[in-house]
Amino acid sequence: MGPLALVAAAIVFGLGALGAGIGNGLIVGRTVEGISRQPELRGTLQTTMFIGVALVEALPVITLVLAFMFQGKA
Amino acid sequence: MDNMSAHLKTVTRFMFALLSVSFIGWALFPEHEVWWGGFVIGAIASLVNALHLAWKVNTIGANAAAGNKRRSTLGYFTRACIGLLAAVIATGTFDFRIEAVATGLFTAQLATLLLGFWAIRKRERMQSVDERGENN
Repeated sequence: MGPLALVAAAIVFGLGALGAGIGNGLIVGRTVEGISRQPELRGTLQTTMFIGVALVEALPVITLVLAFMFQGKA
Repeated sequence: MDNMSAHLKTVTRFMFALLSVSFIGWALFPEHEVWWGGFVIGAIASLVNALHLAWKVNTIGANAAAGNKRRSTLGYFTRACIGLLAAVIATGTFDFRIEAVATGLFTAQLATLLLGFWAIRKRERMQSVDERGENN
């Protein structure tokens, strides 16, 4: 595959990280806003944030491994 | 806060159960060692990632509740490096399959999501509602 594999690795990890960054920013921003307004709901909001961030971050971790695989084929 | 630590405890238990099943599978079918080993390394890295994420989320929540203006990050770079380290150890040191590592890296996140949905449904089922629609 040659250099195209390196380009594929860069694209797959770059786009994955970009999406995760946007998603995490939205989730954390809204949760912090909610906790600031109602600190007594911290437990519920934190759990929801944990689930959301775990879901969002699963994809870029996998893209990292995929990028590593592409790099190995270069 | 108690809510999240209970959820995290459930996820940790599930992951330990999954790891023990993987080790049993590894012992029973050693001819597929490259897959079992890769999955185990990925699952361990995934569990570490989940615990680190829970710690970070707790820190951010505590800062927000206390009204601190201190900046704190979510620590994604650390988790990405843990994932990369797992991939390097699995392929470089032991010659395990990287596809199995990628599958293992996803398990704690998937468990968090599915067990979270399950806990929410269970909580909703346990909350009884009277005829005026109020929770008892």
